[in-house]
Formats: sequence, C-alpha cells, structure tokens
Amino acid sequence: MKQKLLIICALAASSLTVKAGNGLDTAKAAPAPADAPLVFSGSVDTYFKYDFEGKKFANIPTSFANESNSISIGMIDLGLKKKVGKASFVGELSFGPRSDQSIPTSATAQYHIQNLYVSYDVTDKLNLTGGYMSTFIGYEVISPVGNFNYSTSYLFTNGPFQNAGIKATYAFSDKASLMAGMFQDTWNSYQSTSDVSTFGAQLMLVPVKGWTAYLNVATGYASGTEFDLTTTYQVTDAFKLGLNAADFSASKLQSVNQSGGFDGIALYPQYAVSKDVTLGLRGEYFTSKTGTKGTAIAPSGVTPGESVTSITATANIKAGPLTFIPELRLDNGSKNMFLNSKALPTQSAAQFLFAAVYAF
Amino acid sequence: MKYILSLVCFLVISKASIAQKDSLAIDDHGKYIYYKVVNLEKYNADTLYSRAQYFFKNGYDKNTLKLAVQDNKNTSITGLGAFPVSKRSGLARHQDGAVSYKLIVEVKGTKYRYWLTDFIFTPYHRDRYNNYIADNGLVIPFEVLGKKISSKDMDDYFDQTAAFSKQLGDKLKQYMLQGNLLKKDASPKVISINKW
Repeated sequence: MKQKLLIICALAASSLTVKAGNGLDTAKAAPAPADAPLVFSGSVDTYFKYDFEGKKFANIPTSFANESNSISIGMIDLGLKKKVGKASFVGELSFGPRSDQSIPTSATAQYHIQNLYVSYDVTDKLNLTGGYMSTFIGYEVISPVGNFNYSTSYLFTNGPFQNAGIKATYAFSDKASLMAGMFQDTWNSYQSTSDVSTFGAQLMLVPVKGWTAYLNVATGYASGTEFDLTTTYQVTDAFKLGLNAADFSASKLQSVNQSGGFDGIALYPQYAVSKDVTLGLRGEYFTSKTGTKGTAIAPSGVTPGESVTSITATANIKAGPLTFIPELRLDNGSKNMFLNSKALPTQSAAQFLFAAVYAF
Repeated sequence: MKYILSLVCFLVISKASIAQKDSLAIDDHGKYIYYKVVNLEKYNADTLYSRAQYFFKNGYDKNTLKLAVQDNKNTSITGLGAFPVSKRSGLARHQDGAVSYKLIVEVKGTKYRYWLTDFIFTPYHRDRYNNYIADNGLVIPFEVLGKKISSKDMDDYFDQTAAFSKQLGDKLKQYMLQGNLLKKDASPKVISINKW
C-alpha cells in the first residue's frame, strides 16, 4: 500500500512539474493566435411596480414594465457570438413580456430576435454587416442591461427599436467613424413591407477623451425621417453625463398633412457614490407634433400637439452579476393626459418600481 | 503511516500546483510590477538585444504588444500593449475588460531582465449589438482598482495579469534562446515518393 501511495505521489508530482516546465525551452515555434471562443451572454430581469394613482392603472405609457401592483417578469435574453478570422456572427433571442412588447410579431411566432446578423472585416478599417440589428438611433435600448433606468423614455418608445438591413462602417481612426446603410422600409420588422428603402447613417466622433458623440439619421418614404444626437461624457471617474435629442417627421403614411412626428430631449446625469452604488437622473421633455395620426392618444403616448416632462430618479446597486434598480418617476403633461385613482383625467402621474437584472 | 504518506503526497502536489502560479509584486514606487532576471550564458548582449527587438516586432499582434521606444545605446526596449480579461464568476465567459501595460526589456552581459508595469484596467460593457466594448474615458490604474470594483473581480484580473505576464516571459525566453529560428516556415514540407 505504501509503495502504491509513493508511486502515485511521485507520478503526480512529476507530471505537474513537467507540465510546469513545458513551454519554457522546448517549444520550437510561436503558436498561431487562437480564434476567440464562442461567446455566450444574456440577462434575466424581473420587477415590481406601484402606480400612485391606483392599483392596476399603468398611467405612464412608455415601453415595458407596464404592469402595476404585480411582481412581473421582463425577459430572458440569450446571445451567442463567434468570430473566426475576419468573419463573425451574432444571434440573440429573447422571451418574455419585455420582448413581446418590443418586437411586433404574429400570433403564431413564439420567438423574438433582438440581433441576428453576420459581419465581415474587409480591412482593418472597413466592416460590412448585414441582418437584423438593434437600431443605431437613440440612447436607450431594449435590453435592461444596456440601460441605467429601468423604465424607458418617450424618445426611446417612439423611435425605432430595430433596423434590418446592410451597413458599411469605416473607421477613420479611433476618434471618428462613419456608418451608412440601407434598411427595411419599416422599422422593427423581420421583413420589409415593400422594399429596402430607409437610408441610415451614423457619424461617431470622440472630440476629447471620455466624450463620445453619435450623429444619426434614418430616412425613408415609408418610415419617415429621424435626426438624432446621442452623446455621453465621462466627466470624472465617478460622474457621467448623457444626452439624447431627436426630431422625427412622420411620412405621409403616418401623419395628417405630413406634419406629424415628435421632438424631444433627455439628459442623463449619473454619479457613482461607491463602487457598488450609482445614482442617476433622467430628465426628459417630449412633444408630439400636431399632425401625428390618432385622435386621442397618439402612438407616441402623448396627445398630438401636447408635451410631457418626465423626471426619473434611479439607483443601480450592484451585487456581483445582479443589479437592483429602485426607481421613482414623475411625469407631468402640458394638459390632462393621465388618469387619477377615480379614473378622471389628470395632468401628472407617478410610479415607483423595484427591478432586479441579472447579467451573464 | 498511510495517513502520513497521504499527507506528504497532498503537500507535494499542492506545492507543485502553487509553484505554477505567479503573482504581481509592488515596486519601490508603490506600483504593481512583474519582474524577472534571466541569465543566458551562451549569448552576449548584442545577440540578446537583437533577439529582443525581434520579439517586440513578431512576438504578438500589434494590439497585444507594440514597440514604443528603443534607447540609442542598444540596451533597453520599451513596448506597450493590452490583453483582455474576464470574470471567472460569470456563468458565461466573455470579455469584461482589458488590461493595458508597459513592457521594458534590458540587456547586460549575458543577462536580460524584463518587467511589466503601469497596469491599467479598462472596463467593458455590452453594447446594443451584443458586443463587449470599452467604456470610453473610464480607465482604472491597478493601484486603485480595489476602490472601484469588487475584490473578487480584482483578484481574478490580478491572477490573469500574472498569468499573461508569465506567458509573455516564457515566450520572450523562447525568442532569446532561438532568435529568428522562430520564424514560421510558410512553405509545406515536400516529400518525394519516387524512392523508398
């Protein structure tokens, strides 16, 4: 028995020692760099929301998290990415109410795609990408991992979520790049209604270290024209400031007398008070243009010709991969556009929510 | 006796395992550093310097290591580079950031020494296209990393930095020992089947 143990001991120690020594002097040639492995990532989110005006009213009409007095679910998001040499793909599927509300789909479809595209680096500076992609417009995104606030802005709700198409991105340097592409005639659609006629472009600039600005445009006879500025500035290690401003002019298919659409601006200051806690605000002013289709509440959630001001105070509390998000939000319309607890029109609405987002 | 032998066996294996893992040290300016001195008695300083130059130009792609400064006395070369790091605690493994560093190689007599320092962590975030990209403008020197991220993540990144430094040192030694013999021979080996 003793001999056996000694032999096992000697073999184990010698194998480890040999392994540790390998690669020092015996290798004959530098190995070729390995391709990146298949990357798997995603998130899960859930929340509780309380609307101050009543038990089940969901007064504030922006996207997602619109179930009150309920412990509700957001979505599970599963993404895959792989790059071999110059070619890569991304596939990202989601399931759940947040996913259902973000992507128009038929009653029979049981799947929702957030991203599904292939990409190729033609040179170090030029990249071609085609497929169904998150939109290049706006500050906020569908995935709760990509947003600081859990509720969403009016600008996000009324802008595109996804654009399917093909685009080319040229990087002049790490401080400037230009993207241009052709996308489906309608937003948020796996397939075009008639053709691929929306032109989109994005100019990315880094004027100073820490400051990134995106100037975006998407225009088409069916989808209308949106100009958008999205910018963030990391002012100090702890303080970040974001801004989103947009103007959308609806197409004649979407508006009365071609004057519909919206304007808006949102400011996002965020301050990290510790390594695990960041506090932030979102202040937004949003106007629905008079020609927007819809007589009572337009697709924007705001009555045509009216405006709304919204203040959202949010904390992000990190516990490893889990982020807790307590949030208080107050919206105030230019006229009565919400309902009070007696279901009568009122000018303002408030809500509290507590969300938990796990990212992996 | 059986238990004593088992214990000895366990200790030998543990020590051998631990011996493979390197760690960062602190230099006399309070900065994290990975430092080694190597004596290669077969080669002189000129040979080592030219092989070090070759390493800086060919050892890694330009994002991982790029030659920055050579002194005019042919004794010292400085390079800059970066490598990705990820959290080990995650369910899925993806890039959570990058660590940039400075590499200095000096030669003297039959010895060379090298050190990696100026470690800076750049956190990554997931963008709207499901790519992990740098947070523009947010960089954290290793010396204050503990104040900005969890100690578990910091330990992970320190371990990966030490492992990368060790791997770089091993590769540098290959180049110092074998010089441009490490050049890849792109042409395939030709075999004639006309004769046995």
